[in-house]
Amino acid sequence: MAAFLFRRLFYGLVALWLISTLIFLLSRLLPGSFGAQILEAESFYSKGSQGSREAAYQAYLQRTGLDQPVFYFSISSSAEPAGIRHIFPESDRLLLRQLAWQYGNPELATAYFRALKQFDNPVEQPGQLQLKARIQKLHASIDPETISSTTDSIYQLLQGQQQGLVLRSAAEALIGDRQPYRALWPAFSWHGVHNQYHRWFSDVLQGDLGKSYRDSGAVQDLILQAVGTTWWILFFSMVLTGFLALELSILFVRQKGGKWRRLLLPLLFFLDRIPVFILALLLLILFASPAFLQLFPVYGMGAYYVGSQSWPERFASLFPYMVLPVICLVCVNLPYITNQFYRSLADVSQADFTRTAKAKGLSEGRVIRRHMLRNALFPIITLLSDFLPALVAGVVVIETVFAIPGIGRLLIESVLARDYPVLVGVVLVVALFRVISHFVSDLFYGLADPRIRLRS
Amino acid sequence: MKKSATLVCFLLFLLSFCSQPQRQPDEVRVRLFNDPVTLNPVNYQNSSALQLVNLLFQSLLTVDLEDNTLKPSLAEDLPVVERTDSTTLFTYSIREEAEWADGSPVTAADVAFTLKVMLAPLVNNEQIKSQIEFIRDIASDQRNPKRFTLLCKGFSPEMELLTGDYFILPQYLFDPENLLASFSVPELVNAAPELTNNKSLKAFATHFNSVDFARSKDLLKGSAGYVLENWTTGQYVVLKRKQNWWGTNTGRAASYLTANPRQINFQIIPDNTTALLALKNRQLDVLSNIPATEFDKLREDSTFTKEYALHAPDSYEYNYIALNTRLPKLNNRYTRQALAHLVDADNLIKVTLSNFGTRTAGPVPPAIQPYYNQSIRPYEYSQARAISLLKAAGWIREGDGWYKTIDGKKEKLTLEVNYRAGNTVFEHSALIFQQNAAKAGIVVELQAMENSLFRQKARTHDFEMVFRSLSGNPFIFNFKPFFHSAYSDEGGSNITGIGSPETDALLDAINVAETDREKARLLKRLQEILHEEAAMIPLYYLKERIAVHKRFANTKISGLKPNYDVSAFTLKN
Repeated sequence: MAAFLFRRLFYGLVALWLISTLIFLLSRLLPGSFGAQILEAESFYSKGSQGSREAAYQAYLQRTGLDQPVFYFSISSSAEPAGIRHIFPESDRLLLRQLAWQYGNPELATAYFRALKQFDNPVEQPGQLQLKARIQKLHASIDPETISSTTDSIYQLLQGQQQGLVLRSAAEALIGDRQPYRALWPAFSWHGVHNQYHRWFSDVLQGDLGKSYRDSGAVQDLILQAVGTTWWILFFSMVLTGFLALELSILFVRQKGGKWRRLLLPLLFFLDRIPVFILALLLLILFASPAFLQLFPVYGMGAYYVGSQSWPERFASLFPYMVLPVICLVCVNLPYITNQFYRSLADVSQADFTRTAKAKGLSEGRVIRRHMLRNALFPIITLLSDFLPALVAGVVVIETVFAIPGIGRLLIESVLARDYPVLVGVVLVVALFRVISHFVSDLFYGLADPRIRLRS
Repeated sequence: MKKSATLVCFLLFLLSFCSQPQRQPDEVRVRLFNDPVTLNPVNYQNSSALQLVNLLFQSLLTVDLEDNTLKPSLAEDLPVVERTDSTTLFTYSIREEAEWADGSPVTAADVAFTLKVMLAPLVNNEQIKSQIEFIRDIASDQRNPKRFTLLCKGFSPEMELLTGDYFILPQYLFDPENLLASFSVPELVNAAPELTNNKSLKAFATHFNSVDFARSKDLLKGSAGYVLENWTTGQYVVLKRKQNWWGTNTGRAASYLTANPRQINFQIIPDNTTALLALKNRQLDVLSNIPATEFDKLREDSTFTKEYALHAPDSYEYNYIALNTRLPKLNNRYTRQALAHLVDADNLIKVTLSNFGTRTAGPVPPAIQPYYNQSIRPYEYSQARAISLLKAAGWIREGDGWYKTIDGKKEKLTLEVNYRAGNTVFEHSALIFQQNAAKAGIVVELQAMENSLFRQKARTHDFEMVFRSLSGNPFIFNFKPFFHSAYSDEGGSNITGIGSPETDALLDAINVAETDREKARLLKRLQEILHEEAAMIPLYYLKERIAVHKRFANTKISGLKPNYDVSAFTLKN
């Protein structure tokens, strides 16, 4: 048994590492980044020029280490010029990358790109606007025909000036020497330990999940706080759901339970079909609104209170806030779990040992609770083991509607804000609980069925 | 059975006592739709935080929501402006009475310190740094520690506002070890690369970038009338009035330097329906941004209006459709005008906003009558006009749509319309446009985009047609960033890409216009050109929808964010 558990633990850790690494890398693929709002200008008047915003953005990337490569190595196209990631602004980098991929020649693409960049600060002269429009066109296009015709017209516009000539000949060279298949050839580059992943992972191994981009708070504190607020709601709802589901399914398998089953099962199915947010709003309108019954507070988890409260006082003040979310969660989970419990019990009720127990003359309650239940436990353990991660993962809809700052909302907010450390931290913690819960359920399987213990 | 029923009834009865937390009459409860995340006065990130920081810290100038004008806040008066060819000098004096939470006076040294924090490398200030890029130096008056002059490069009309539009930080509290004292402002403006290795700078940056400056009660103490009392993440933020705050002794200025409510309790409620229910439950005193249809219903509800006052001021949020004129198919003016005729803006206001919008012919708000060009008639919905304009632009109707040969290639007129995912008003507007366009034979594809992606696409000018909004104000009209050709490069804020020598000259002239009359004339001309070009199809200016409890007077409801001044609220007798 110990070897079996040890092996499971080892697999669990490997899975954990894989999940967190994948999420780390995938999150970096999201378009946009936290610092990108530095580049925004959405107001009637300019708050800083484009150039100074770009400079501030670069300073931000450098300060936070986001300008480093993401992983130990990267695989890109061999057509891509070396050092392309140092090119700012990002739109320029994108243009050069597209040019290199399109024409398959990094050297000539860079030469053309440089020639184009020479026009960034054109001197005041007649025809400047036309020139600008053409330069813009080149910035937006990698199509050979457009490039060739536009560079030609720039050359004519500048009446043979050096700049125009350089640009035109660079464009001609680029278009003339196309190696379209080179872009398909992969290039492997090694970045060493100076990368974002290495830094993050070595911190994680030391128990530090990093700092939030948004408020510089430690990620573990944020997660702990978020779990803390929703923990009790989820815990109560799980216990209540488990208890109700068990009692209901026992009621259903009893001989006299037929009429209850016919009455309640359709009702549960109906409940199952109501979307969570509608259920939550319905509960609010029914039990927290002056329009009907105003029994519970509408939102939040307790009000601001001056002075200290003892533990029971604190609990009593929080209790009314928890009632509606707990009822809501119970309603959401109850139908499915009851049905599973009932199916599992019903299967066992056909088994030989159940018949034997009945033949021995045991009471129905005893047969169900002592003989059938233990054997019906397997699917139940599996289901319950999924509860534990859910306990941490939270329920976004409930948290939003009832304005409870749980971990579900933390995750959504961190994704929307591109707050990578929090995002990866939350996923890592949820995955950790998943691994733990599977480990615990393995333990319980062993306890529930001696055969598993003996076999392993 | 009977017993248990009685028990349940009893329990419910007991619980009903819990539903209404006790309320103090002079505590104001305001809803925030998201957590402020950080209250750092230099790198706050959302509007909720800005609203809160405004109650903790002050800037040199402020906007009095009573009449929407710029007034001196920490400064004694508006700055004295001296212009030379290449520089502009702004001279300010700080109010005699102004003091920090510990009773020490606010001086020019604090302003210099603030500028240093905003400019220093390694410090988390990138969000705000570029806003003061034009400030080159600060000179303090030797005789008067409260008087100083800001030396600025060039001139633009918004400079006056921008020189006074950042929160002044207390040096004694933020830098007790005087780590920044050895640096001068020009030194930090020039930002030599070796500065990043400076020990003092590094130490200050580590100190200032920490989470304490985002949420500590002891550090976030400014010169304004409130202090942070409690902040429970994601639930509520409580601010408490300072004892004997200096602002109340400022004579006439005390009408807008206010700290009236004893306590302000900001409740964080992300969901609109929940917030509305909390309002109906009397759990909130102030709720803004009420959905239009709900606002109409509240107006009808007499029990509600007995206790709450409803307001719908004209906001400065301009909503429009931007067309990318860089695209060959959209660079003809007639094509864009045809599309403008397919946007049924009046109907959009009626259907998507329950009439809570004011139709506009251009980016100048109709509420600003001297500058708004009354003679322009907004594009009206007309299929016939649209079709004749499309023909004038050279499009030919063939079977399944409109075709035109551009640069030797036959192109079909199709459009991809983008809007921010989750914005239901724009979503419905886009759907209505899609139907109108379909009637005219134009295929329109709708694509909602997640916010970051949406912004990125606009920034890189990678779009065809977008529904957007722009927040403005009634005092500065510098449209250069939106319509000047200098801003139309990649990443530039002129996303439509329009701009001609005439508009460029006009935009420059507006910024240096000496008289209001001249400015009005130029702005009206600009509106004409913009209307003609139709690269930006104007829709409407929104009307805000706010409810405030009637026990409060002096609410200063305004079209400017946050639409009310909670620090000014007084109890009615």
